[in-house]
Parts: sequence; C-alpha cells; structure tokens
Amino acid sequence: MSAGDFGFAATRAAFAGLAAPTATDIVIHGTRLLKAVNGDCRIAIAGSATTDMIARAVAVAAVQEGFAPLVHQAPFGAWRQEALAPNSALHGFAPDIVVLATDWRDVVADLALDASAAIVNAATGAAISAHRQAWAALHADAANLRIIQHLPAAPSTGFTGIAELRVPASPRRQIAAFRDAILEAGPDIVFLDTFDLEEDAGAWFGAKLPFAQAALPTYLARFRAALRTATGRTKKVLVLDLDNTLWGGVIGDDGLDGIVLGPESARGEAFAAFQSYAKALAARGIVLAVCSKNDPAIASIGLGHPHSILSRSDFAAFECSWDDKATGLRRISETLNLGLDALVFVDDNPAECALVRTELPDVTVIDLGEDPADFVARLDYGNWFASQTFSAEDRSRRQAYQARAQASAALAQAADLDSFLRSLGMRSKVFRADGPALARVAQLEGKTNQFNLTTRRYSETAVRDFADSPESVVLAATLADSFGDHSLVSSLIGVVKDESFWIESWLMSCRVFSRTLEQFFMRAVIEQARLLGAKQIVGQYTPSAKNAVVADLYARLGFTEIEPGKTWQRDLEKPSDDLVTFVASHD
Amino acid sequence: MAAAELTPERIHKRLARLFIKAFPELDAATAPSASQETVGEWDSLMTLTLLMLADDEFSVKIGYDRIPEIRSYNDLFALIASRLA
Repeated sequence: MSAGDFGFAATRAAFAGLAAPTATDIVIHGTRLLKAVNGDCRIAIAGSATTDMIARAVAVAAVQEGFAPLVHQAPFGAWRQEALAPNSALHGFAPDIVVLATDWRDVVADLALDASAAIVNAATGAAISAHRQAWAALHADAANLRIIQHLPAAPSTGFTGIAELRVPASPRRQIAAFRDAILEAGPDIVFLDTFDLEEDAGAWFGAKLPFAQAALPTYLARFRAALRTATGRTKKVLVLDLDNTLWGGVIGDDGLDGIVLGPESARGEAFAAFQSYAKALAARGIVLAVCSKNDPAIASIGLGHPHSILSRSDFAAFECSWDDKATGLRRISETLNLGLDALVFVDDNPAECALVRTELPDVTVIDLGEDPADFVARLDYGNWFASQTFSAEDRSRRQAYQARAQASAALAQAADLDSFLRSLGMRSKVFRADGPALARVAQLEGKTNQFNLTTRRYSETAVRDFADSPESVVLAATLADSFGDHSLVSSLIGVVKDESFWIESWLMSCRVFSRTLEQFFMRAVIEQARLLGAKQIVGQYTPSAKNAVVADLYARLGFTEIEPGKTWQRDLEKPSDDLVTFVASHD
Repeated sequence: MAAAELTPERIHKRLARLFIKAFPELDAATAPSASQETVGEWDSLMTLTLLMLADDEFSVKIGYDRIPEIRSYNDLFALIASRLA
C-alpha cells in the first residue's frame, strides 16, 4: 500500500466481482477508506441526519467506480448553513462532488390535514427553495462542481392508508408534490432516489441513521449510478451472451427446435422476458451487442426462433467466434468506438465472467447465474443503465451505432489468455471408460455437434463394443476447475489397425473447448496409443453443418496433413512437449 | 451450537476473530485490549457493526441503547457473556 492509499487497491480487489456486497463489508472497507488523506476525487457529504453510514458507502462506491476518493463530512444536520456560508468547512474542502443527503423530514411540513392546496403549495415551495438556495451557493464559487441530491421518499409507515392519497396536506402527498417539483427545479442536478431503502426506527432513534444498515448495498448501487452520471461515465452498451442467456440450451448442439424459448415452459417464458427487457433497454437508447463463442452463421439462427423477441437487426455489434470473450469485447469496443468502460457484459458462465473481469477490469461484468427467472433482477440490480433524463437523442443512438458497426472493420487483439487459464486451476483425468461412463459417452455421441470430428454418432451398444474389444479403446476426460466440477466433458474412441491408432470419434462439450483440455487429452491419447503398440495416430475431420470449429484441430495439435482437409497423422516418436496445456492431472 | 458449550475461552476466541474482521489492524493478541481510545476507526457506527456481527456470531441481540456504553472489547465481551449465561 502506498502512502496516502488507505486500501483503494485492496478495496477494489475485495469488491471486484462481488455482485451484492454485504452491509458489513461496506462499513468495514468504507471505514478504512475514510482515513485517506489523498485522492483524485473530493466528495463532500452534507445532510440532515448522521452521514457516517452514507460516507462509507460513498467511499466504497467511488473506489468501485475507479476513483481514489477523499471524503469530507459536514457537521451533523448542517447541510443548509454549510452550503450557504461561503467560508464553511465544506466550501474550504473544495469538493468536486457534493452529496446532499436530505430526507422527508426536511420536506414534510406539519400541516393540518384540511389545509388548503395553497398552503400545501407554499410549504412545498419553501422546501424547494431551501434546496435551490443551497445548490446556487455551492455552485457560486465552483461552476464545475456536481451535486448529487438525495430525492426524498415517503416513509414506509403511513397513518390512514388510501385516505392520505386523497388529501393534499398528507405527508405522502407533500412528498409526491415535492419530488415532482424538485426534479423540475434541478435539470443539472444528479438525483439519487431514496425510495424503498429499508428503515430501522431503532437506528434512527439511537444514532440518527437515515436508513437501516441493511439497506447499504442498495444505496451503494444507486450511488454508483449517480456518480457515473455526475462524472460522465455512463454505461451505453449491453453485451449479451447467446446460449443459456437469450435462450435455454446450445443452438449449435440443440438446434432451433431444441432451444428453450417462449410460452411452452416456465424457463422459456423467463428467457423471453429477459429478451423483452433487453429490447426495452434498446428502445430507450441502450446499444445491444452479442459476444458469444459460436459459429456466426449458426448463432444468428437462434434469433430467428418463432418466440425470439430480439432479432439480428437489434444488435449493433455481433461478435461470434471461438476467440476468448475478452478479445470479442475488445472488438465490440472498437467497432462501436466506445470505451470498454461503457460496456456491461452479461453471461451465464462464471468462467467467462471471471476471464473478462481479469482481462478487462473496465468492463462491467454480470454473472446471470443459472435460473433465467433471476436474469432481469440481476441485471437491474446495479442500476447500470439508470439515467436522469430521456431524450430523442437516446432513442436514435442505437441506429447510429448500428450504422457505425456496419461501416467499420474490427481489429483483433490478443488477451493474456494464459494467465486466465492458469488461474482456473483446471484438473482433468483421462481414463478408459466403463460402466456408467459409457452411457455418458453415448449421450455425448448423440448430442454433440460442434466439437465432433466425424459426427458418426455411435450408439451405446456400439460404444460398449469398442470398449470391450482388445483392438480399440474408449477414453473419457473429466474436468474440474475453480468454478466447480464439469464431470465427464470429452470422449474419444480409438481403433488400432496396422500400427496406426485411428481416432474414430472425438467429442468435447463446447463449454470447455479452447481451454487447452484438447492438448491435455491428446497427451493421454499418445500414451494409450503407445501402450497399444501403435506407431502413429491418425485423425480425420468430416465436415458437417456445425463442426467448422474443429476443422483445424489436428493441425493445431501438431499433426501433419496427409489428405488435405481430411486426414492428419502424428508420429508417436515425436515428443509431446508441443502440446501446451494448463490442465493438471487429477488423480 | 448449544449455549452451554460456550465457555468464556470460546467466547473470547470468537469475539477476537470478530474484532479482527471489523478492525483488520488488530490480531489475536491485541484484539482483547482494543478500545475506542486505542483503535482510531472505532466510532459509533463501528459499534453498530460490531453488534450486527455479534448477532450473527452469537445470536444475541443487543439494543442500540447500549451503544454509548460499549467502548472496549471487554465491554462487549461482558454484555455477550451475560446474555449467553
């Protein structure tokens, strides 16, 4: 830790990838950050209640958004005088950003319930002008200062239910009128809505905390959104994975009829709802892009599903390749000419999410998890696309980016894939399949389309025959990594004929493809082939509609082409050092 | 864990761990002598956080009205021990 750095880097690391930090995490890290004596972002907080809790969240939020914050808290309850007095400590602090943490207590006047509309308007007007005066005084000596104003919300407890909504003088109606008026009054103010923050009466009575400590994670997410707006770092692009994100299943393996989407099932409904959500974001100006490990021709077929809400033309960038996703995201950023920090990337695969977090820390990464019913909430939680206004320009932005994408060519850049693969801590075991493993191999034979070299689709009986014969072998590989156990993910059938080990079939789940399991597996195949007395391994590729991804597999595994595009051979005397793998043997 | 198994030693061990979580500069040796005077970051909000952590760890609810009297590790230990007794 460098001098003056009170854990900025440590906090950033601790919160990286944490979708929902706990209130305790925020308080503990925020407490350290408040000790900072240097920073590149000076944030002052003034309010009508205790700001200690808010200050912690503000400090953590600023670090998460890439700033080194220096936080100043005005004396308890002194927001008006601190803002109005030019020689106050708050002005002396010379903040870049001021957070005005006022709440309903600053707004609601104690009026008789039968007070006339004119009296209510006068009270609301007084509360508005108190805020306006504070804003003007803060801006008087610092034109570039940005104000983040809490938007007061009604307390969760009421008095008489619906009746209150009919009476202009009720606290609820006063708050509602105030909210409308203050949004009107402050076009240049960044508002942070405090609705629905969990309350804790005990914390208010005991410590004058404006909301429950348990509400800190929600507050944190909202403050981050406000800070992005205040500093002009808004998110502009939603980058979506395809398989198991926009539909259930793998389009390359399951086909258009096999993917889950639409009203036939609850899961299908949930995927459709997520698509609708993305479509609605696009309608209000968020640019959509795809980043998927897929064959581009096959990938877009899924968007032609009868229940697909999104269509190919909704996407301004469409990155489908077998490159890693960091590379894909770089291309999207270049195609759209937007910084990586404008991208929000969502994926159901935690390993892909981890890769992107490691390689491209500027990209916001959301791990959607496994249940599509949660996808919308998980994306919405961070307020990533929250904005303060809604303009015609927003609506036309998407078309502008689409045009740009069509006009510009993408450039590929290499990511530091090696360090990511190393960090996965992959372990595999290659073994001769027997018993239940043979059933799983037969299952893979039946459904694997992409990493399938010959697409011969051997039945379970045929697979068992290969396993039982002394001239042939059925090998299977498991894979486990830091995210969990993927169990049996690859299988290979080999037959020895005339001192050659012929690969009859080789399959791998696309989820783990291009993680160097191929190289690890081939090393094991070489050993097996030697044991069976072979002198070379022969591999064949039979093109199908979906297996273009492995067209050059044998060439990449150090085989020599003997029949162009069809047959490759690898001499067993050749050492296997060229087969570089990040997978360790799992015994 | 049944309350009967929580000997004072075990409470100390778990409370010290809790203090180290809240104040990372402390360790097992220094935590038991921690107080608001010796730990710069310890303000009333941190006391509130300690109470939340204590609730998670020992399942004891200590009201906010006790915040002013919890000024040291020993104060909190005494409160927890009396609740668990």
